[in-house]
Amino acid sequence: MPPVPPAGSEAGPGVLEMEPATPGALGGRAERMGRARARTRWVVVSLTLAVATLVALVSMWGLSARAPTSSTGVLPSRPTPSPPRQPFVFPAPTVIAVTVAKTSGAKDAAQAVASTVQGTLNRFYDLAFMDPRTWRAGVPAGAWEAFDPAVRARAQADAASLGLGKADAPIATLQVTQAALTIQVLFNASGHPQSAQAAVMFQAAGRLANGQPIEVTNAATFILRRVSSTWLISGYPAANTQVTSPPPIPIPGPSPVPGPTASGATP
Amino acid sequence: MRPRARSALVSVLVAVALAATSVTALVLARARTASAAASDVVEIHSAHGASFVPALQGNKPIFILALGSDARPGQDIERQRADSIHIIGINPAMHRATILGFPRDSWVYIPGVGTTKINTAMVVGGPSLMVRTLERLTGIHIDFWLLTSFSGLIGMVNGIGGLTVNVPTAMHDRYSGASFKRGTHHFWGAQALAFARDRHDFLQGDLTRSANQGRLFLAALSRLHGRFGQDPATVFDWIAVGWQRLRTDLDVQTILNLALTATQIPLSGVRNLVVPARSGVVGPADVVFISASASSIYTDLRKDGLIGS
Repeated sequence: MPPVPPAGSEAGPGVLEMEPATPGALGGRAERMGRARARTRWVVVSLTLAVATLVALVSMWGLSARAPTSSTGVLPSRPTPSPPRQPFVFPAPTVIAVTVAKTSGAKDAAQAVASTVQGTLNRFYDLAFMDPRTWRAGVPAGAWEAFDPAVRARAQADAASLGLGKADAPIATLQVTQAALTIQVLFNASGHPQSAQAAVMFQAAGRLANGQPIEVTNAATFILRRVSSTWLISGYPAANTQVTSPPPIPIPGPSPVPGPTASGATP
Repeated sequence: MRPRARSALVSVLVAVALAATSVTALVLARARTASAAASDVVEIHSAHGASFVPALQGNKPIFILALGSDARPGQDIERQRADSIHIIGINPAMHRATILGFPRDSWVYIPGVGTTKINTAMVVGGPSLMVRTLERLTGIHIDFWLLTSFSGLIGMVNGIGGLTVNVPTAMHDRYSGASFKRGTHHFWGAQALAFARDRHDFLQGDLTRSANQGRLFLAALSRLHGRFGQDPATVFDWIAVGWQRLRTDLDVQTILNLALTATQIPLSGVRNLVVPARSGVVGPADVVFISASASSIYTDLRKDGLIGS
């Protein structure tokens, strides 16, 4: 913004007194007034420059704050107050009863087993993926109670496949985007449930503490057996967890700036 | 320079400085974004996957007697001749197994009966006498037995989607219905049964037939591996298919444990062989005499469920 000349000024806006005034052109008073006006212009111009510099600095700071702070070039998250965490629960599973003989009530019995199996998996997935303690320090010890004691140590060793494992940077937010559960219950010839097999598909999205967006995908199959009054995981024929970072969302700018696009091409 | 001109120059400089600052900031921000975008998806953590199958553990071998009855529809399959006789030894710790076939005409001692064809034992005393006969012959303690029939085999093979079998020599036998070129075939139930029954196409008749029956076990194991890899719940389905077409002293849980154990045994870890024997005649009957050298095989097998380990 150009400096506004003081009211009543005859001359244009003065900037720097680089040349003396033309001798004899003005009288002494007029000369003093001219110098005063020139000083005023100097002050105005200096202030304008200062404001402009400040505006420029603030603009840069603002862009930097919105732009990535990490080398990965993604948006950092802004801390927002969150409501109390609700434990993760799988949606109602698909339940299949596998009988070797005619078994009356197998469907209801399979539903009952599936309900317990789902409870076991709800707790495990909540602790292994959705509990903020896991995001900072890995899967908490309590999660492994979903496993038969005979395989617990083995499962813990496979934490990176069964759960989140330990990320290089802690996770700041994570929300389930998709989850599905199919449970098959095998009955013996007497109609008693012998074993259950659960197929899990689990997806979540969130951000690391450095703002990098992440997507979590877990696919697993579990074999469960009854232990006392509950059903615990006795095996996992297949379990895989992937944590990936999708391409960052481009920052909307006021005007297009020529440069490389997301695909690396220059328009 | 006149003050008005100076003022204009300063204004232009300020405007240029502001514009340059803003553009620099924007370019820097966009360059960072574009740089990250160009690298596409960044994999932060990827487990290659873990697997733990609750298979049987331990060094103690498990021995199963697998029998095929020649019962026709309406006949009691436990009281007809055993056409197919195999001891399957499983070593859970080593993930290996042995299929040892016995020709059905093997001339052996049957407890309480005397020396006669081995398949007579089932007619007289059912699967339990078959077990006692084999235990006495081999010195191996049989843990479980499995028995199926012609129709049972057809139903099982169809129920699991057929079997891919390598036919070692061409077969054209009107008795069994086997008519196959040498090479790999996908058998449905009836074809698998014909393959398992044919003995007329081979010089070593009953011995080769027994080996071919072992090939069906291997084909089933191969299919189990393939299906289990795609969907572990396959084991449940196979148990349901098998249970309805088998007689056994196994319970469902033990079958499940054995099936899961089988998923951990590679095909290369299974030996399929037939006891050494020669054809002979006793009175009017064609029989098979098991060689004396078989005793060393029994001793070896008894130790750990494996031969030549």
